[in-house]
Amino acid sequence: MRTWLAAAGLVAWFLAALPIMAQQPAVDFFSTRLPRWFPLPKIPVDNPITESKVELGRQLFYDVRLSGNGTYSCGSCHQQALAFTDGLAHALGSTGESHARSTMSLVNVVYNASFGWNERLSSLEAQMEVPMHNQQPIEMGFKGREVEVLARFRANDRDAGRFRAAFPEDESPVTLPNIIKAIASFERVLISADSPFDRYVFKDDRTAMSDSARRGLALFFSDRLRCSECHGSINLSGPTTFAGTMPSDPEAFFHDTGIAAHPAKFRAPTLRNIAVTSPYMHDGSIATLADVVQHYARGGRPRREKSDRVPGFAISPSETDDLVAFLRSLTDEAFLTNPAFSDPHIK
Amino acid sequence: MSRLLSTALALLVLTSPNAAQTDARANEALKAGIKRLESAEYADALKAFDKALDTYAGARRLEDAKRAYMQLFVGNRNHANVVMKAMKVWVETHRDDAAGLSAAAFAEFDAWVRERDALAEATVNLVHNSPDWK
Repeated sequence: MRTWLAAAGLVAWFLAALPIMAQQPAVDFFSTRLPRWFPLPKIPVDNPITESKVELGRQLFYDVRLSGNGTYSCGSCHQQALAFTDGLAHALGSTGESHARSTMSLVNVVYNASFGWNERLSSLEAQMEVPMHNQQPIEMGFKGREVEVLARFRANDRDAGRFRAAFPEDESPVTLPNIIKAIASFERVLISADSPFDRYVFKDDRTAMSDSARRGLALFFSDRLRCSECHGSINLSGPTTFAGTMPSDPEAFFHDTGIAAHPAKFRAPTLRNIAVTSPYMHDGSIATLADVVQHYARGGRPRREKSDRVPGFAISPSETDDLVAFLRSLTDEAFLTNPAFSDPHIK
Repeated sequence: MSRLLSTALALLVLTSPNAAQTDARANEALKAGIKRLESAEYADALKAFDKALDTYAGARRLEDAKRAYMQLFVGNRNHANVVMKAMKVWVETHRDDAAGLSAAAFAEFDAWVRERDALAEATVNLVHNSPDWK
């Protein structure tokens, strides 16, 4: 009887779920972009996602005219082949100034519950204000040159047409808020979901991962290493947010990994495509994945403020190889070469 | 095979219209089952699905069971876990009588069930934020 009830419940659940899913406003947009094992993302009510907005955002993301001196774009630091990082320990701004931290990946950023290495920024739109206006160091160098930068786009018929298509309700659509909304829309479609790990776990592809990577997967999720306690959820990261989830405690997003010279709490970034994003940590201080594993195995650097999430663990050299093989299995080649995410200005 | 597992197979067929097209009898019974389902006659629907699924045989049926489990695994972990339990029970109760399967085919299915069971347990944090973060 209990089995029958469970079975009936299964069928009832299936039927009941359909109308609920259909009511989500972003379903249509993301239905062809997401595999079934990815949750429906939350999209800000004041910036609904559209195809024309995404396309404008892609154009702007790679457009050097958006920097004050006309030499730098978002894509200068966020390079697709490197999972939208830049391969540097410290990001460089448009005037050559060095940032204290490394460039963060934009992989699946639509699921981030907050933004920045340790800032409490609540949206991509809010985060984007930082590189636009930052003066110490200068990043995009937009501040003080707003009129000049906007004039570059207003003067171009093709650009103006794209803005009108993306923001048809606006009489004068070439504005900084609209630039930010468009770029945020583009960043929200940067979905990586076709790694060997995805194919093995969610498609039951027995050939996707090597034996070593499978052993590494078991280690990653094991009670001994407990990597997934910080790098959890579909994004293998700190807290994510998606349709149906409630806001988490913002203070829980960050922890001290014992890597900085002074106490500070940093987010657990996504590990998807991590193999192409070296050097690692918020300050680019660790060059290889094997060295990152050893850092955590040692329990980080001894310091009173260090998070109790980094207690250290025992791991053999062959297990380290397996864990690194697993991390490499998170590389999504299709994502890294997807033409839809590439620089449209390169012919 | 348990009624629950049969239901998972039915869900697979419902969500993958091509799955049953190779068997006309299965199609006919499935249509009857879907009709019962739409009128909320769950007991009769399940009977119809059972009849449809009975037309599947031997190893083919186990392959369908795998696919049904994966459909649920990516859609609803809680329900997939229940189906996994049903498959484990089926394996344990058929070790001495493998329902016409070859020993090799049964062993392969047994290994698959154990591997997927371990994988489901290991990756439980993939479907939500780590409880430690909350």
